[in-house]
This record gives sequence, structure tokens and C-alpha cells, in this order.
Amino acid sequence: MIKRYETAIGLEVHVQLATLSKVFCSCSTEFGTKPNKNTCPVCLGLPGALPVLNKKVVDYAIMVGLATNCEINKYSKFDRKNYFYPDLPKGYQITQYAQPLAQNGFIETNTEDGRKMIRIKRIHIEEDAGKLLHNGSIYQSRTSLVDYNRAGIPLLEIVSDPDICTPVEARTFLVQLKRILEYLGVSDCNMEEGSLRCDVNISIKPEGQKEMGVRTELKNINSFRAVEKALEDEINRQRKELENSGIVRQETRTWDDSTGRTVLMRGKEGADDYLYFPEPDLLALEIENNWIEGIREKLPELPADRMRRFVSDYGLRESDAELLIDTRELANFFEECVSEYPDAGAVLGWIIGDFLHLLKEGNMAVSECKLMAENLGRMLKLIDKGLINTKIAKEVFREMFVTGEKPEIIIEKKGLKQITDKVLIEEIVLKIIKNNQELVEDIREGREKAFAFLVGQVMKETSGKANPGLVNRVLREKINE
Amino acid sequence: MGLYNFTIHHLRDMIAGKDISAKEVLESFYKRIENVEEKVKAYITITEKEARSRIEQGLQGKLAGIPIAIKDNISTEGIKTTCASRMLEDYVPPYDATVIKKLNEEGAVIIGKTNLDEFAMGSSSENSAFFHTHNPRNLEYVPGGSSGGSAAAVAAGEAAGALGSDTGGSVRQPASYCGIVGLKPSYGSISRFGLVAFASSLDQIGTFTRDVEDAAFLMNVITGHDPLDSRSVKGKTPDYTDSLQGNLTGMKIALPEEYFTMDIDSEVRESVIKAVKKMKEAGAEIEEVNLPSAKYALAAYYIISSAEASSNLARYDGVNYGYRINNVENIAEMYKKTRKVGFGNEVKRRITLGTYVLSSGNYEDYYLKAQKARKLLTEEIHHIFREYHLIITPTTPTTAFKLGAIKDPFEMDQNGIFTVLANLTGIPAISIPCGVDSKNLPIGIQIMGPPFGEAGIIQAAYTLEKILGIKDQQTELEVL
Amino acid sequence: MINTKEIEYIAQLTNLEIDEADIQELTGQIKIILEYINILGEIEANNISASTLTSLVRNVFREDELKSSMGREKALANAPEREEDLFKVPKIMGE
Repeated sequence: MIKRYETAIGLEVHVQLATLSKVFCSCSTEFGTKPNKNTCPVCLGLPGALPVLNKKVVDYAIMVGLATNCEINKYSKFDRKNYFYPDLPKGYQITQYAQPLAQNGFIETNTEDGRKMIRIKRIHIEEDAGKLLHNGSIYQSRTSLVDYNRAGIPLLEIVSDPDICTPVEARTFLVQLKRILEYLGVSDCNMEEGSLRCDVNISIKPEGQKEMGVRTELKNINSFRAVEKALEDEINRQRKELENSGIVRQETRTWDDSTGRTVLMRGKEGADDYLYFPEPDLLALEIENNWIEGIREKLPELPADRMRRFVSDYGLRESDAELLIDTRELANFFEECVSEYPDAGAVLGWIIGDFLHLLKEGNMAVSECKLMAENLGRMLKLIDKGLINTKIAKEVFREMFVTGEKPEIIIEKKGLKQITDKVLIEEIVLKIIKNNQELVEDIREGREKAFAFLVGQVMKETSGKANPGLVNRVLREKINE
Repeated sequence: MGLYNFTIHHLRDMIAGKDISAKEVLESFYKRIENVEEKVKAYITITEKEARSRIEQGLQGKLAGIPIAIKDNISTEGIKTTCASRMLEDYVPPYDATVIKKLNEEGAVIIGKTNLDEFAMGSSSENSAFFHTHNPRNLEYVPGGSSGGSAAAVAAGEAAGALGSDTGGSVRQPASYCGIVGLKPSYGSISRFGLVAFASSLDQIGTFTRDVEDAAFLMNVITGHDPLDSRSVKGKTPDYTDSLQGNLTGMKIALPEEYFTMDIDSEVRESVIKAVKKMKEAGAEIEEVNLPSAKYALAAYYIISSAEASSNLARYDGVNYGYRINNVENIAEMYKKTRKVGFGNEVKRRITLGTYVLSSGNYEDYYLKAQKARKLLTEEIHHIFREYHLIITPTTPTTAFKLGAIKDPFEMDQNGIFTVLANLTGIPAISIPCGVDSKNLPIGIQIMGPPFGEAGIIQAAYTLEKILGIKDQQTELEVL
Repeated sequence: MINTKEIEYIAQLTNLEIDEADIQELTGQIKIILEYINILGEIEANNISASTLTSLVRNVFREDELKSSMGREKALANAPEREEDLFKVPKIMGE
């Protein structure tokens, strides 16, 4: 009998907040500058330096707390987490251990079994450490190099309860969370650049067992897809362990993309005992209701709400709405287009079709392409007027995407106007009929495929510009004569 | 009489009145240093070049041309700041502490960086990794600590005034031992930005001066809100010189019974009681009060100061500044060997104790308890200050001791028994000389006030100073 | 009460290596202090709040503004070892 196991997955997400300056000093948070350029006595941990909290970090943290349905704590404070590591200049990290900023929230996630609430255990503010560079891997390198530009960048740590049950759910949760953060505009959420990092806790237990299984931790996974794959591999590994030795060891593992397996992390970053105590250099946080309400009022529309609105206001299917709200930019662009051409259904087709396709092809963000909502509207109106057919429209669309030009100009330049001249079409149809006598016979016998082919030939002759409806009618007419 | 004998206010008046030049003043002090420094050894670094070039620039401000010595745990840009430790023996800060900026803005001249107990941990300055400082009043004796160098420099006429730091008494105690005025302000009055941290919630920068007027003067320059120090208090800084009034009428003074029943050297006790009596004769009301939690003060101090210190000193790991040992296999070895060689035994002792009281399993029993004790003390102090203006005690239970006489660190720590209270509760405290013992060693009396009650303690100290006439006895510094 | 093994463990937590010769002395000194500190046992443990600040002031902030940084040269000026613009440290992970 195959034993069935239940999985409990918890995620710990670290998000870099996109403030101008660092959390405890006025150095820039800009990514990608020369090493150690954005540093000062505070973020270098020089003797005598002191931290001062960036108010915007608290604003952003409250926003995230509200957007994830958390309770914002009236009182919270900072603590020191003490350990030795070269990227940690003070020998301690300022974090919120005992009294975090927010807790007890949730994110609604779509799973295979329907809608599920993944609970958010806590959200807190802390500072990022510097960056280490090694010659080869950290295990091979004889020396390492330290860049403190990243030290002191504000982080929000968002911890979920172990409510996630499958690797797909984990990935979905991450996508939802990222979307919320992106809609709020509080982070770049770029896993490649390190502005969003994810650690995973996972344990399995035999179905029906009350006691939770032993947890392993997976760290340093650098994409959502890798999270999913790592979890799949780890679940299998733990299952095998339980079946072989009956024991899963509590370990910290990392994901090796090249082998597609999780690997035990050697060595330890961290400490046996973090010696937590309240940060004496900072005062406690008192977050009054009017501060919270002030932020709540200004919260942008969140993804879930936007999706609901798209379904109700535009009559879209949920699955289509979900595609549109994937990024705030895309959702905004969609609505802009609809305001130019109030047929949501028509606009929808072009956006989730050609538009997304072209974006993917060019590896671009919405903000980077040149297509203007106004021009899509114009194009759709031209189709309505019969000036171009949908096939030509695709070409016009592509051109607009790349150049940003008005559709009329493009049509003019490229001579793409639809051909509706019956006389001209008749001429071409007769020519095609003449050259395809056999097929004409087939059609007279009822073979519609051949008809479509001939229509295609006529279209080809006109470089696709002929009005397809008209071509169909004329061809039918002439064949039946 | 050499210019080095004069107080800050006197020198300032002379410079302002163009009777002397700033250059002459500086030269007088450097000459004095030349004559006595070999015996006193107050200075780790004498910043002659920098000071001289600064004078050339032409100085403006309240302290224009006044030579001030700085304890070597206060960051001075471009000038070595060693904290008397091997760990920082070559460390040159790339920035100035806020107090240094303020001194510079008012035209002061930094004359040198003074010796201290390593990382401000100690009460004799014998824990310096470099050398011992000698008490100018008697060279065989310690100047006190941890700001021994600053105290000695002022007492020996090697600086017109000096800055130190006070975590458990490190300004007041050396002031008491060296026979000068030492002031620790209310917590948050003076910015800690640039002060190398020992115990963050206890540290404050303090002043060493030859009289109370100078203390008020120096305070006016270095006090004030600093946006770079989150615990720096906001609000307008008062003019402390307004308190230089010789009047004690109506002042209610509390003497905590618990302190006066502790083990105090008889000559110290006599001298302090005598001074208190004189205050009574001048119109003050003296009463005994109870401070029931006084017995917890030193214990709370041990725990809180060592816990915070152990964390504050974790940054000394050889990675991005300071001493680093060479020829190691890996970073773990580098950490251990660097800290082994870089730190002295006293520092190691305190770090170990601090780590112990923070370790899981011990945190509730020690750290939280100590904070509770601190709260109790603060409540009791506030209670006393609702009725009384001042609290008075001896500054220390004894006068200075001989260099090398106290080897047991626990015994050494006991001389902070009266001073730790002010650090734990954040209240201002000043020590002024009130007499000498039979060995001619200075005795200090400590006057404490409510939070931000510097005006009261300055006025009381100023008046007492006048009554006792000790200031005038010290006008001509003894030839060493 | 406390013994040398415990002191060794504690010291090691904070990367302090204490010699055989010194560990006894250090343990003895810490012991004395711990005995002295026991007086705090008189204080009741209940309702110890986590708030440890002596002042009631809260919420000290700064605005999210940039100030020019110190510059690379100053940042690296005290580096015990450097490679161009980076701080250099020995091998981090042992095999």
C-alpha cells in the first residue's frame, strides 16, 4: 500500500523596499552602483555610528500589512540579532523579533481545490546585510570580497503560516504576494536583482498523524519556478528518508539548479544563540489609528479587488481578468484602452493575444513599448469602418507596438487599406478560378477545404488586403455561375 | 603665571579683549605639556600640527582659541581614535563626532586625545592597552577612570577643559580623584553620534573643567538635539550660564540613607557632611530620604552595561576596520585570534558576562530583571524629586588609590557604587571638589538633579564651590 | 553554579578564545559577579514588561531623503585588506 503524506509548507519572504534611502541612514538604495559607493559610518558599522529610522519604511510596512489583511500593532519595537558574518558590519542585525509591526493576516490564493486563505503569521522591518563575492563557490574561494552597498537597505520580512500544501500552491502564493507588492509600488520585486528573496520551510507527515513532521529549511532559491521544483524534489527526498530510515533530519538545504536537486548547506551562517535583546539606540514605534487610516485611504486598488471589478464591470471571465491584472501596468493599460474604445471584449482579445505575445517576444515591460491606448482605439474603429480587415490589423498592431505611430499613418505608409472594390476583386477571383480548375471542380462537388484554399489565394494576391467577406461572396458567386 | 593656569572663561575674556592671542594660549599649553606630560601621561595623541594650523586659520566663536582635550573614544576625523585598545590602535575615523563638530564650530582647538580604560571599561585608566596615566595631584596614584586621561589633562594644566564619557561614573569619579569639576548631563542631552559605544542606554559624553562656570560654558556649546542620534532629546537648549547664581535659599536637598550607610572612607564622609552642613547654613534644607532600590543599582548596572557592551563590541572582528591578525586559515580563525589579541582582559571579562546574561535561558533572570530594577530606581528617583530639588552623595567611597593597588576587578567596580544611579536613571550629576584627605588627595561631592534639571545642579554646585573656596585654592597649579 | 566549560561556551559564542591559563581566573571573576547579582532575585518577576526605555518618547524618524555618501575612499580607508573597491576577508566556509 502506498503511504500517503501530507505536506506543510511555510514561506519566509524578504522584500527590499524601494525607498530612496536606506532604513537607518541616508545612503542611496540604488542597485548596481560601484562597490562600497553608497556607504557611510552608519551602514559600515563604524565605531560611534547610530541608526535613525526612515519613516517611509514604516509607511510601506503599514501598506503591506493592510494589503495582506494584517493587524497593525499599535506598539512595536526593534531588537538586535547578534551573530558574526562578514556581510554584517555591526556584528548584529537590527530587526523586530519580539514585537513585529504586523501579524495575523492572510492572502487569498487560487488553488486546485478552489479558493484558499494562506495565513500571514507576521510582517516585520529589518535591515539587509552586505553582499559577498567569491572566486567560484563560497566553498572553493580562498578569500571573499565584501560590498556594503546593500547593507542597511530596508527589508520587510513576510512570514506565512505553514498552510501551503503543495509546491504549486507555494508558487501561486508567491505570485499573489508579488502582485500585491507591485500594485502597492513598495518594491521592485525582482528576484534576479535580489529585491525579493524566499526561504522555505517544509515538513511532511503520514496522513492522519497529528504530530507535525521534522522541518527542513530551503534557502537561496532564486526564482518562483525554482521554489516549486525545489519543493517537489524535497518532498520526494523526505518521503524516501521516512521510508528508508524513518527519520528526517532537521537541516538547511539549498537548491542546485544544475542538478535539479536540493543539497545540504555546509557550514553555518548564523549562530547557536542570537542573544536577542531590545535595540537601545532606537525608540519604540507607536502607530496611531489615524496614521493607519491615512494610509488605508490612499491604498491603490489591490489585485483581487481589481479582478473582481473587471469581472463585474466589464463582464470578463475570471481567467481572462486574472491575465489582465497580472501587473498593475497591464491592468491600467487595459482600462485605458477600454476608455478609448468601450468594447471590453474586443480590447481583451488584442491585449491578451497580440499584445502579451509581442511583449514576451521583445522581453519588455508594458511601460517600455510604444503602443498607445489611443491608437488601439483608433485601429479598432478603422476595423469597424471596414478600412482594414482583422488580418491586416495584426500587422498594423505590430507596427504601432514598435513605432507608436497612429494606425492611419501606418496604413497610408504601407498601403494596407482594405480592398473593397468589387470589380477588382472579381478580376482577381476570375484569375484564380482560371488557374485552379481542378480545385473548382472539387468545390462544386462539396469540398469546402478547397474553397478556403482559394480564398487564401485571392487574399495572397491582394497581400491580404481584400475584404475577406467580399472575397468569399464573389468567389462563391463566380464558382456557382 | 602661565596661561595654562587659567579657566576657560578667563582665557576667553582675555582673548576677546585682545590681551592675549589664541596662539599664545596654545603655546602655553603645549609648553606645559612638554614639561609635565612625561610624568602625567594623559595623552595618547597630541595633535600639535592640526591645532597649530587651525590657529593660523583665525578662529571665531564662543570657544575661539580654547584648547580642549578629547577622550580617545570620541571620533575625530583624520585623527587616530584608539579607545586605548590594540583593536583600534591605527584606526582613523573618516568622520567627526557631533560634539567635535560643535566644538569646531565655536572655534575650539582640539589639543589632543586622552588616555582611558580600554573601551571605557574600568575605573582607573589602568586598563589602557598602551600606558597608565598618573594623577597630577600625586603621581603614584591613579587619576580614576575610565576618562582618566581627560581628568588628568585638565588637573595638570595640559588642557583648558576636556570631554570624557560617563557610563557608570567615568567622568565624575576621575574628576573627584583629580580634584576638578566633572559633569554628566541628562541622558539624551548631548549627542552620542561619534562616541564609540560601550553601553548605549547608559553612555553620555561629559565635561571636565576647573570650575563650575566653565562646565556651564562648555555645556552650552556641546548640548543640543542631533538628528543623527535617535535618543537625542528635542527642544531648545537652555543657557546653562543663567544658573551661575550663588543662591541656595529654599533648595531642598535629599540625602539617601541607603548610600550614607554604606562603607565610606571616614575622611570622605566627614568632608562631604561638612560641605552639606555649609549648604544648610547658606539656606538649603537637608533631609534624609529612602531609596529602597539603591542596593540593586550596581547589580543592574553590571548586567545592562555588560550586555549592551558585548553587542556593541561585536563589530570588532577585523573585517572592515581595526586590527586584524594575519596568516589564518579561514575567517572563523581570524575572528577568534583578532579578538584575542585585540582586546584586553577587562574587556573580555565584560563581553563574556554580557553574553552570559543575554544567552537564552538567562535573559529573563538577568537582563529583564535588571531592567525592572532600573524601572524601580527611576520611579523612586522621580518620587524623591517631586519633593526635593537635589540628591547629594559622595562621588566615590574613597579617594584615589595607588597605581597597581587594586587588582581584583570586582573590588575596582565597587567605587562606582554612588555614580551608577545617575546613568541607570538618566539624571544629570556633577562632581565638584569639597576637600582633601590626610594624604592631600581630593575628595568629591556629587550633586544630582531631576531629568533635564542641569540648571539646579549647576546653581547648587556653583554656590557650594564659592562657599568652600576650593576653586581659589587651585588657581596656581602645583608644579609637578 | 557556573563552571569553566560554560564560560568557554559563552566566550566562544562571541568569538573570544580564552587561554587555559586564563579560563579559571575568568570563571572565578564571573562567578563573583553572578553571586552579587543574585540580589536582583528579590525583585518580583511578574509583569516585567518588554519596554526597557527610561523615557516615554517614541517615534523618532528621519525623512526618506538622500544625503551624499561618504565616498569609496573614506569607506575603505581603514580596510585591513582590500581588493580594489572591496573589502577582502579570508575563506568563509571550511570544507
